[in-house]
Amino acid sequence: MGAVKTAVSMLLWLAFPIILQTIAPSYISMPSLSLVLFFTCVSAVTGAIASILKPTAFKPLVSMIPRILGFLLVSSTGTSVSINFQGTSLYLDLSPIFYLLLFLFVLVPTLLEAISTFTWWLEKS
Amino acid sequence: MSLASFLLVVLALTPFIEFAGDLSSRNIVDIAWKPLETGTQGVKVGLILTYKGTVPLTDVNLRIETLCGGKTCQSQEASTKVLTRGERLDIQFFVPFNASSVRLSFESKIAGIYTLKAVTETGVPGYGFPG
Repeated sequence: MGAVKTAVSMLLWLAFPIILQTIAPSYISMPSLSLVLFFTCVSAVTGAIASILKPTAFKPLVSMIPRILGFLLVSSTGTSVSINFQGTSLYLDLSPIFYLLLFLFVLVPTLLEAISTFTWWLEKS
Repeated sequence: MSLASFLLVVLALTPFIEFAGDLSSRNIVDIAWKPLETGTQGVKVGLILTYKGTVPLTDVNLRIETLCGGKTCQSQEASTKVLTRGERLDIQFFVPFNASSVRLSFESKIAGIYTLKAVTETGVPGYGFPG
């Protein structure tokens, strides 16, 4: 179940660059399909492992991998946009939104999971 | 947590989407040139940049380079902390008679978050400055 959930979430991540690519094909580069498939497979496997692991110090680390891969997948499409608009070259740096996504969906959940694991350990011992 | 994260992402994306919408629907910057005085070496030009977008721009910097034979022969900069709708940025620069073109480089942050850079180059129009 964990593998399916992670694969679905990875496919949603994948939809984001595809939508961007569809809207502005000449401005945003698309990572190769094999790279995307590799990320999706690894994330599904690590997600499955994380879902069956008992709470230990390694669980937050294992469950962090799909999130990091998801982030890498999105950021590999490029965090800036360059457009030539009516003879003017425009450059837009979108990296703040990627840093925000990294913070909200990778760092904070991992930290919360690590805290809850540590608390569980303390209660157990 | 997820709802708060989602809202935060939407909040961070809003100025960018608004700016992109502005950019695609209308001209968000008005540039007016005016020759101020003509000397023996060239012309002193006044440029007024008026911002017409809805999203405020911060850390605004406008750089004007006059190119003579592909090299920068004169450059001038103007900057302001915040540029909101209807506000202007004035700059005066010198265009020598042997100048071939003028390059305008504009740099700012959209709502203080996203860095925007725009570069445009225009030929020296001689006596007939537009605007």
